[in-house]
Amino acid sequence: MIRFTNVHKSFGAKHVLRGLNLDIGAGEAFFILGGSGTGKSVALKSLIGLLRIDEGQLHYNDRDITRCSEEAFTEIRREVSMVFQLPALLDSRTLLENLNLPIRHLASKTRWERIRSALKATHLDVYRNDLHQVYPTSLSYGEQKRMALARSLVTQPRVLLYDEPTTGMDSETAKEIHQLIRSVAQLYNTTSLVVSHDITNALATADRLAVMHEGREIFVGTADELRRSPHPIIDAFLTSSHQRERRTAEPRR
Amino acid sequence: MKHTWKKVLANVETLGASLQFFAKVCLHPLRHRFEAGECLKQTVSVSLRSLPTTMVAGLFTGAILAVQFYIQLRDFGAEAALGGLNTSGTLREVGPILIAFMLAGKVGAYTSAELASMKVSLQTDAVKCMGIDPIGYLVVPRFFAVASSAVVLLSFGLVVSVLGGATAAYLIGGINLTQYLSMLPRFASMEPVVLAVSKAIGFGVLMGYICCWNGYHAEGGSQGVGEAVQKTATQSMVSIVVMDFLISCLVHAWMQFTH
Repeated sequence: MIRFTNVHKSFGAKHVLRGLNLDIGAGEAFFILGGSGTGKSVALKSLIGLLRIDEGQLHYNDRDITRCSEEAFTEIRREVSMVFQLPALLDSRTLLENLNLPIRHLASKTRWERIRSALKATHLDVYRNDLHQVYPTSLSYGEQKRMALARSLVTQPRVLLYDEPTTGMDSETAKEIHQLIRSVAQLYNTTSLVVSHDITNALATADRLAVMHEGREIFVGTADELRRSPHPIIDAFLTSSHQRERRTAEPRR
Repeated sequence: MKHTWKKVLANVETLGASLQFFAKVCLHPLRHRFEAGECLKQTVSVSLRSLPTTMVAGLFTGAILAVQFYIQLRDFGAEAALGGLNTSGTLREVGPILIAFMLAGKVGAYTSAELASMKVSLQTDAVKCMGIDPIGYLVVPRFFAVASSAVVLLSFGLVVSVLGGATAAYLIGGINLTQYLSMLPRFASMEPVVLAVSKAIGFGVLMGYICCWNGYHAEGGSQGVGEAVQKTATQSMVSIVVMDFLISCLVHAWMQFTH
């Protein structure tokens, strides 16, 4: 469904993507792992047209979208939705205005059905009757992230891109978000492409994973295959991630 | 030398890009969907937020000028000319520029900060990812709101400044409104009115352009927001002074030509 073929991207002298190759099937929960600065987010942003790649090819649904016009990307964005590292809700708008925004061209009844369904899927039913008077800033950070996911879901996307969805969250909330990614994918029958640092939850949630290092993939496979991988960089990455997570989870003395 | 040349080139490039942005924003409603509701909402919000400031600024601008003129005119026994002279001076120069400065600090900085924080907190990217053009949805309504409300507020402020002048003249020199307005036709002909309206339009468009450009192109977290606001305030004030001079010259030349 989504294919990156020998993708390169530079920012000035910094070569961020150096020949990335990925093939993601329909309905998959595909996680991209890797250290900071390995080009994970750049890959996601290229796919939705927020960044343009320098070399290589990008395919979505067997369609070459490498040199798509902005108008063509607007069409693609109706099927491919993105949840950002920050909630990115319009904070000067009410929750209802935020949820209505991507589907404002639809009939009122359809909009309400979709909003209700998205709120239910993201466990935010509690705000159902106050959407028109509550602003995003009155929600907790975790709720804001879930509301951002709900806003993506109202478009009923075929693909959902998550850019580090659990950044800045405690381990319990992060676990909840990962469960949500899984349940939403099943409920809406979407393909999920998730960029994450959260190795434990990624291993538990992903159908397949890729590990990126210096702008290209060094591993693509299942969680079990990843655990068994003899690659020294993967081993070092897994060890350091586990140690970091253990340290975060341990109570301070 | 090479470094200076590079810097000059970079500045020319930025100016070109900003003018291209200005053209894109101005022409956007002709080519794409115009967010009329959003534009109206922004205009009302900006106008209402700035109305008290404009009233106070306008009132005292006229009053200050009236006091200064009265002190000078009294020495020559020409207090009767106060109304005409003060209105002309307020409309021509002091009113538009002082009120525009006030609005640049309030409306321009606010809009710039709003757009910049949307940019750095990825709200702009999120809007784009929904298949909505952020220029059309976020920038165009704000540009038209700032430009149109600045024109309305400046015009309103100028009327208030004339009233401020009249009030000060009565309080200081005991000149009543009839006396104050009697000399108006001799001093304040068509030219000051044309100047005031031209400046209101010019300053409004300029403020809208500068605050939207800086806000929409902010980068780098809260520091980026701060830089955008600072640039907006500085560039607005310098540009207003330059534009003031240009409009004054142009209107004067036009008046000379038509007479």
